[in-house]
This record gives sequence, structure tokens and C-alpha cells, in this order.
Amino acid sequence: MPVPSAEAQLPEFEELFHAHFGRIYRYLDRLTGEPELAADLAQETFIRLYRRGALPDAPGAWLISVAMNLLRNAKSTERRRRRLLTPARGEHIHSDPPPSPDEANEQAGAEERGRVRRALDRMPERERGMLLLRAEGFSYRDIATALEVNEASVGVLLARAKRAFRELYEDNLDAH
Amino acid sequence: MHIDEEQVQRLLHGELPPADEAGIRRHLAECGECEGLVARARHDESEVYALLRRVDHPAPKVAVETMRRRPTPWLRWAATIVLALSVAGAAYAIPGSPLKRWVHKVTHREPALPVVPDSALAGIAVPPGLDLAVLFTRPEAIGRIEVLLTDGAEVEVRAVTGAGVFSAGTDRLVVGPRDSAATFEIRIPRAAPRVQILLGNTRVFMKEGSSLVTEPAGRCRSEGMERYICS
Repeated sequence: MPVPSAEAQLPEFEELFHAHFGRIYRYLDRLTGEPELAADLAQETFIRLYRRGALPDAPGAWLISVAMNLLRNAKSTERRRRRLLTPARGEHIHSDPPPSPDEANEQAGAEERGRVRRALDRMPERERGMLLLRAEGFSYRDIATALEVNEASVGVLLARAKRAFRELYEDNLDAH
Repeated sequence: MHIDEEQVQRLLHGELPPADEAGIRRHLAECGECEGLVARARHDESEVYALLRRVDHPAPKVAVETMRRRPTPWLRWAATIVLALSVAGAAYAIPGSPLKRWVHKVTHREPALPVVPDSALAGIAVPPGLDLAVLFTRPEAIGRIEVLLTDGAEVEVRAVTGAGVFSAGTDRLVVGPRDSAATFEIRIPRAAPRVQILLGNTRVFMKEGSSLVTEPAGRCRSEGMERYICS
């Protein structure tokens, strides 16, 4: 049976792109805290889908799995970028004036973001994946397939993941 | 019989078979305890999702056409490169070819002077990756090191006074002070999974997740919130 070409499947591809691009990007962004990397990997995920020609039977699970594999590859082969610094910033740090109210709000917001980031970073990989995928509205079946867990227990695992995140986040509050 | 955690979650997420959902909704209408359980779970979830939104960055605007216009797979690229090289080779081989003169001119150009003189460089920044070691090769020449935790994305090492020689490998930053008693500042992203600071063979500071280790005692001391001085 001939495989339909990418062009023939274009309307379905576009539909999937509009439905899932934002979710895959946000998932990767929350997972890594690196928006540029998340954007690159989300695009690469859809390029692979386009080049695949035929659409997968379970597109959600396929997209998550490809995005996760791309992220693993990116992390394991990450070549450090070097950026040389000039003295100006160092001098600034030691002579900054006290923060204005707006700056104080911004600082509080940054601290809050830092606490959420740290809680996510400290979660076990599977629980974090589960929490972030469900937050993007992926179905239990997609989550179970992508994370290789039993679909019948996704609800319980998800409840556990939410509790773990809350506890780690509140630990960070106590630490300050 | 009360509903279990799996059923609570599935009810919240519309993942129950219709027949089961109808039964559970009938039960909730009669059981305040289970109804409270579902309400709490819904409330907790909305709080967790609100916290997750705090770390979001705006999604890039990507048109679907971009996916189709992206470069073709490597085989097509390779074929294009081979073809281009063949054409260029043929043009170069023609006697009196202007391409030959152009190639000679380009390859014999005087080297350009560096844009930024080396002495103006005060530091280096790299993404922390999964594990990064910042290694000072001549600990005896270090005046002090100030360590700060930041919301930045990169580990930054900067000579505050004096000068240093910086280089970056795959999992380490190597810093060699040029002057004696040079002082350095190291800015570590709070989100970095693991960053260590080594003075020669001795690890004096480690950030792993949210925990900070400053052993052996006496080498680094806390100076206010998320600021350490090592020497």
C-alpha cells in the first residue's frame, strides 16, 4: 500500500501543527527553562513529522516522544557556547542603587519564578514529564505511551506528581 | 463505597468512560466527602497550573509554511554541494580564469587585527549544561572569589580585579589568574543542575539542585542571601 506523500497530507499536518505546536513548545520550555532551545526543538519535531510523510496513528504520543528524544540528544551533545565578557558588568554589580518599587516587584517575581523552576528541576523525570504533559492537555493515552507507563494508573501517578511539585515548591518557600 | 484517586483525576480530566462517569456523578450528588475530594483536587490542580505559568516564556510565532521551507535532508544538500564544487572546479581549471585570480586574492589577504584586544576581556560565560566544573588552576594566586546565585541562563566567571585567562571545555571552565591576588566573581544560575568550583584539586563549593555545599569548612563563607566568598 503506497504511503501518502507529505503534500497529500498537508491539511492534516497543518491541523496538527496548529493544535500541538504551542503545547510542545510550552512543554519543552517548562521542562528546560530554555526558551530558545524549546523553540528549536519544537520546530524540529514538526519538521520530522512533515518529512515523515504519513501521519502517525497516535500523533500526540509521537510528537511527545520525538520532542523528548531530540531534547535528550541536544543535552547529551550540547557544545558549550563561549561568550567573552567585558569588565563593564562587574563594575555595575558593586555600585547598583537600591531597587525601586517596580524593581522590587520584578525581583519578587524573579524569586517566585526561581522557586517554581527549582521545584521542577528537583522532581523525578517521569513525574515532571507527567505533570507538564497533562498541564498541556495531552490525553492519558498519549502520556502513557510517551512515558511508557500503564495507562490505567496515569491518574494516580499524576496526583502524585502534583503533590511532589507542591511539596518541593513549598520547601523552597520555607528555605527563604 | 467512595471514589478512588484514579477516578478523581479521570473525572477532572474527562478520561472516564461515559457509563462510569454517570455512576460517579450520581455518587457525588449523594456523598459530600467525595464531592469535597473532587473540589479540592480541582482547586489544587488550578493552583499548580498557575504556578507553572510563572516560568513560561512567550511562544515563538512560527508559520506552518516554515516547516515546509526548511532545508531538505542531508542527501539533497550533499548532492547540491557536490554539483557546486564540480562547477567551481571546472571554472577554476579554465586558463586565465578570473576565479583563479579571485581565489589568490582572497587567500593571500593580510590577517585582520582582532576587534577586541585580549586585555579588555574580563571573563567568560557558558550555559551550565547538566554538570559544570569551574577550575582555578593556580589557587595560590587567587585573592578571593565571590559566588552569586542569579536568574540568568549562563554561568559567568569574571575577573573583578586583576586579569585571568579563560577557556571552556565540554564540562569545565578553566580559569588561570594572570596576576597574583586577582579576584573573581562567579554568577551561577539558580536553575543550573550542578556547578562545582575547584581550587586546584580541592572542591570548595558545589551547587546541586537547590542544595549548596561549602566544604571543606573555612574555604567559603556565606555573606547574605545566596552570596558566598571563597578564598
